[in-house]
Amino acid sequence: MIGQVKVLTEISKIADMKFPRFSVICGLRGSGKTTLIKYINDTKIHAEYNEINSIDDIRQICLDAPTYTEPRLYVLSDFDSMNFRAKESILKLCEDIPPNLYIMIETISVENIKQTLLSRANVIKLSGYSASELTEFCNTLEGISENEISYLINAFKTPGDISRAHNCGIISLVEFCQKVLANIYVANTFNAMKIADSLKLKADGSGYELDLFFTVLMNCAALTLPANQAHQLIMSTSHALQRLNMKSINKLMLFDMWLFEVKGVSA
Amino acid sequence: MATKKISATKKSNSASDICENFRIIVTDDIMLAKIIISSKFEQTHGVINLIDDATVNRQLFIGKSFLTGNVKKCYVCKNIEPLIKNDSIWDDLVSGKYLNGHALIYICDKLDSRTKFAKKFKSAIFTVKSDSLDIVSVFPECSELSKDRRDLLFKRCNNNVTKFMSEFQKLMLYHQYCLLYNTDNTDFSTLDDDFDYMMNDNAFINLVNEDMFKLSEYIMTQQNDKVYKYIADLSKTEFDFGLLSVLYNNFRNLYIYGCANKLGYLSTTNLTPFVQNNMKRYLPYYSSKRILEILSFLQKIDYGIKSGTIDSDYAFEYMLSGVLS
Repeated sequence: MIGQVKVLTEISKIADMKFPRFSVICGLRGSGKTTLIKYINDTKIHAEYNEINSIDDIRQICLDAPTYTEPRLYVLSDFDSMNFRAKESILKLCEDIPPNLYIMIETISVENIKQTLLSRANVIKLSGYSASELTEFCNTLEGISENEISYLINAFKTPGDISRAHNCGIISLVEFCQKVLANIYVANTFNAMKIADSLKLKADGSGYELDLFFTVLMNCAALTLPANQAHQLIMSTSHALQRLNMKSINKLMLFDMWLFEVKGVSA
Repeated sequence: MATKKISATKKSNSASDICENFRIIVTDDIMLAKIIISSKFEQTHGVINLIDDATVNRQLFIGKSFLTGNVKKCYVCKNIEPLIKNDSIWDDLVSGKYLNGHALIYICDKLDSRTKFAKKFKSAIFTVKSDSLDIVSVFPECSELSKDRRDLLFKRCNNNVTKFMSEFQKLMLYHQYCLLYNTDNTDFSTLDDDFDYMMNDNAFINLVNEDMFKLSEYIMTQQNDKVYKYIADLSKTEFDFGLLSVLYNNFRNLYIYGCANKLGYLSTTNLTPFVQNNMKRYLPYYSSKRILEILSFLQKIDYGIKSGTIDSDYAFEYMLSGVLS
């Protein structure tokens, strides 16, 4: 793992096989929560690694767990988008964790977790990454240039987002965003809607990921647009990014909402 | 026998017909499939046997002679996926090499006609519909129920024989219960009376699905009376995001078409000729301002339902009220 010195130091103090059996790992998307869990499993727990995705998985674990003879680790990576019933089931499981069972929850913020659950958990919060740490991470990526590293570190704050942006071609994304900014205020609304054709708005679609596009766009806007215009665009884009976190949000509608807001189109 | 009234579309392959003993029946109605298989193969192949795909895979896909024995039988398999993935034996199946006179029938609920597999086995595929099925001939017990009620129940089961039989059994159980526990010796309720009671109580399933595209066509052309008539019978258990998505795409394309057409830039849009023809029909009903209003409204509905600010129980009617003039 790159960075997270404080977290890794705390973890190293815990003896092997004495790691708390219920943990909450808290950090931004792409900050390394899953990587940290795998690190903990490899160094401290040495258990069979499993992911839990649904309430049915949780119920099955509740039934099977007392029979485990070898340690097993279950990870809920999608906890924030789980529904209320699923979260209540986890509480039931965590009230009295059977031996040989380890549970780890990944979340963006501890605010998303009920106090009753938090009080039973070992909470690990990932800290941010410094520019040098991100540069060190960038240098591990294949085929990356100095130019790309500079763009990536300016725009993104977590290794996960950097990795995704690098995979989709950061230079071409930056050029696309600059083209959008140069034309968005002068083109007709219906022409501006064509921007969506270059974005990945469906799971099986192609194009730039919407969140990467918005992030790079904000970065470029701050550097190229006049202050007032940049401020308005950044506000609209950060609203859109916030809404993007909502589960099963319709990305095409979200994009159009953003576009109408940026261009001041009112019905 | 009722099979006369079951329509099964079969596409003929003039090049070379597939072995008569290999068939694929496309239907989600297992009872209906059973009727067809029985009518076609029971006389020639005796008992119908259900066979698991693991056994079929073990024998057929490793090139062994499949289904030996002098007594001809008909085997039915429900999982067609392994066969679709294993194209090395398709030619042998066409010629009937491994069947040795036995019959092998696959049942699946859907099959994409554009795939290589569907094209290869075109003449062996039967897509079964029971639209004009006389249910009494299949299920004589239901003749006790009046024709109107029978037809209504069959429609609610989406013309699915299996589901109709299950719902009819529900009705019979309730009817028997009423007969058994009628303690005040008043007039015994008839089967029709009990049916009406259960229908009013919404005790029967309702599988009538909206045809999203037909409904969106009525909405786009502002045919309000047809819209309301169409949705009267629908079972609305949860909000249909599919319809919302179709409507949104239509209005979005309409906005692009309208603006581009006015400026003479139609060729620069990505709208296909089919879409452009549709938009041309819809355009007279809407102004640019109205389209933008509707787009914003639909965005609000989608976001509102997903964020919990709009109650999904009423969202459908709310959506229609905002879109229809």
